[in-house]
Amino acid sequence: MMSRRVAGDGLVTGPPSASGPASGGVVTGADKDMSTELSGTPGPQKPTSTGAAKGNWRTGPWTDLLREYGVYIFLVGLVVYDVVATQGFTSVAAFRSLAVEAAPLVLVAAGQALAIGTRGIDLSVGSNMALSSAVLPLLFGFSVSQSTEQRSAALAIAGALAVTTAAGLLSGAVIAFLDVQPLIVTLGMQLALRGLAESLTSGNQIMMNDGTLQRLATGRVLGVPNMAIVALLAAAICGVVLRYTTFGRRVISIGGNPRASYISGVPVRSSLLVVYALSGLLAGVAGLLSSAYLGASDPGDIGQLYELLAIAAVVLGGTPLSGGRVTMLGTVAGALVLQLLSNTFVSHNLQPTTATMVEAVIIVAAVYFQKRRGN
Amino acid sequence: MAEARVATPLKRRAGMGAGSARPDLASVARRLTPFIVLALTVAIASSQVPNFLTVSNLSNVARQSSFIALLVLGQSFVLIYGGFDLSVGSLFALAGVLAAYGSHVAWPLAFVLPLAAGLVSGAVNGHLIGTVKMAPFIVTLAELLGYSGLALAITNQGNVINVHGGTFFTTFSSGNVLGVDDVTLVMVVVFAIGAVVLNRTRYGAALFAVGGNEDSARMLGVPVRRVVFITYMLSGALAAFSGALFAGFSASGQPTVGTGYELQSIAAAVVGGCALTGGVGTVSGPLAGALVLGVIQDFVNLDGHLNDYTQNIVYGVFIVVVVVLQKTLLSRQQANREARAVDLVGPQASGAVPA
Repeated sequence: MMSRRVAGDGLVTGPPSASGPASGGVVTGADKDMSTELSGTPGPQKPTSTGAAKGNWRTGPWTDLLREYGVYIFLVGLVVYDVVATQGFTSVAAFRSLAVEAAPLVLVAAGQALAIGTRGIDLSVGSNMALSSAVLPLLFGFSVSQSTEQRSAALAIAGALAVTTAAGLLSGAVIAFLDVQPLIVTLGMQLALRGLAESLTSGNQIMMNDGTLQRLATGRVLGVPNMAIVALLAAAICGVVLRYTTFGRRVISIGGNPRASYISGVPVRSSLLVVYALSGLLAGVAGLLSSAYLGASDPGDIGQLYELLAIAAVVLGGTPLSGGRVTMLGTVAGALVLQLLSNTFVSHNLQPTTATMVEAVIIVAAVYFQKRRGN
Repeated sequence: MAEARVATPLKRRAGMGAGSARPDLASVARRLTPFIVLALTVAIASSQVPNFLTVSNLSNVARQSSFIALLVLGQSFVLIYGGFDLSVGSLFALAGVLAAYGSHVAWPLAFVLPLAAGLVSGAVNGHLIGTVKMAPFIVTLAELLGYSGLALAITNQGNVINVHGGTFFTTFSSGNVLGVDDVTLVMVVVFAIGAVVLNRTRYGAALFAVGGNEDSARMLGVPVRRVVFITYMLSGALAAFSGALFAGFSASGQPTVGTGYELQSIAAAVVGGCALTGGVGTVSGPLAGALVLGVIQDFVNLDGHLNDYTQNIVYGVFIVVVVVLQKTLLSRQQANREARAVDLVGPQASGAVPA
């Protein structure tokens, strides 16, 4: 879907002297706000292509290719490397476990991509996962001493998701109506929700032996693990919503230029509210999956560092932090890259710390190539 | 045309005599907020915990706050520029480990090694953010991961490294002068220097200019790249220095210490009146912000009813409430400033820039 636009860009851009540096700077500024559409949508595509070409005097088609496809190239490279060099990687079981392990990160990253698309950020997603995990045993009726459930799974799951959605809604309300920076609001929420989650279970791990959760964690449909289906379905819905619905266009428009969106009648506040509520909901589902996979509620550990990993996945995927442009497919690929990297390191007996350092370098390199485009 | 412009302010001044007192009120209130909040938290803590207001406990609070306060100062400078520095927390840990290793060779190395690491980290940040124009958030986020990985790697996956005792390094970081802890004195001295640098030097003025509007600053001939470079070097050096002091104070280099300091330091700076949008900030406000966090922590430790979990809830809610308050006061102040601009220049000119 991105291919047409990239190819166009590459052809039109041509040599670096396509337009003068003097005008280039100015056009880049305007272009940043203009190129706010989802890549590949037919409507506003043409004007952007030429605009991008003008502002794009600094780089050639190769850097563009790397920028747009970097994450996919990297993912394929990593898979090829694993097929050749990693023992037992080609087994179906290995793919299944990768899909299962990546599922929570994919979900959280999808919500994060929405928030980043509006030029915001959601640092509370990791803690929101923990909150979802902490609420589950309460509603099931599990406790440290009580290991058989009292109530139905549907109710417990719905309750947990309602709580995390409400938490997201609260972040969104403060951001939208009190006009406070998303970073600091969700940072406060990160601390508060983690504290709330841990005090709900007094910091304990609570085992949950429930049939529904077990089916969720280990079941498969046509050989595909349920957790992977949930994650991919959610990401696909987010992608479709972003591209084909009014709400999606509003998200992109707000990220491109909040002020202009407001003036042209976009309901900025209610859209932001929905975005952060959705991010909360997706984090809740991620927490649910993590708890189901673990077979326990562990609010002290679940979701730790996920906010940062999710941001890294979104940025790796090609969504700029400046908002106004979101690629959901890239985000999923970014999450898979991060998960696959850590799996690869584990299977080669490298220390997790080495993995962290390599991840850090890769993230910086990815953003470096994005920046080379000159915006 | 010229006559009209002269006439307008006179008319408006005369008509809005009562309103012209408002701008000062909002700006004074905003500047005082950190100190009022500090006074309130101290008042609440001392009313709940009987022995809170004792000399030994208060010096305890000051000592415990001084390590993160140094990070807060660096973070405040970075926030005034309009950036972030998420790397300070793990740099704090890395610096402590380096100091511990250095102390076994020769005590000056316990200061030199961490400072060198901090300066290098700051230079990398300054280059990637100021010159390459990468997003501060993501660059320093990657460094957060990288440094904590590095700190764990050089300590053989998380071993605590003992500091070689009995040298100037340990006596300095754990000693006291006339009953006042050395680290508290260091905090006071560093903040005093910070105040002079921010308010009395060319760099300080340039920092505010760049933070207010980077493009305008560049057009006015402010060396933007150099300002960004220096700012991140300062932040890195302060975080590393603080980490070294903490290693000397605790007699060990701990690779996992300082987790969450990056966000706490941003919170303290913002509570202290720095705006995340850049161009706004002081030195005394963030100091008060750091002390507020220290007071809350001490209060939670002394008061039996709260635990670590509820402490986080208090922190989180507290940060959001104070920031909402700051934001309200700041936008009122700016609205008033604009109203004054209307008074001086005339309605058309300022109308071109909607709030």
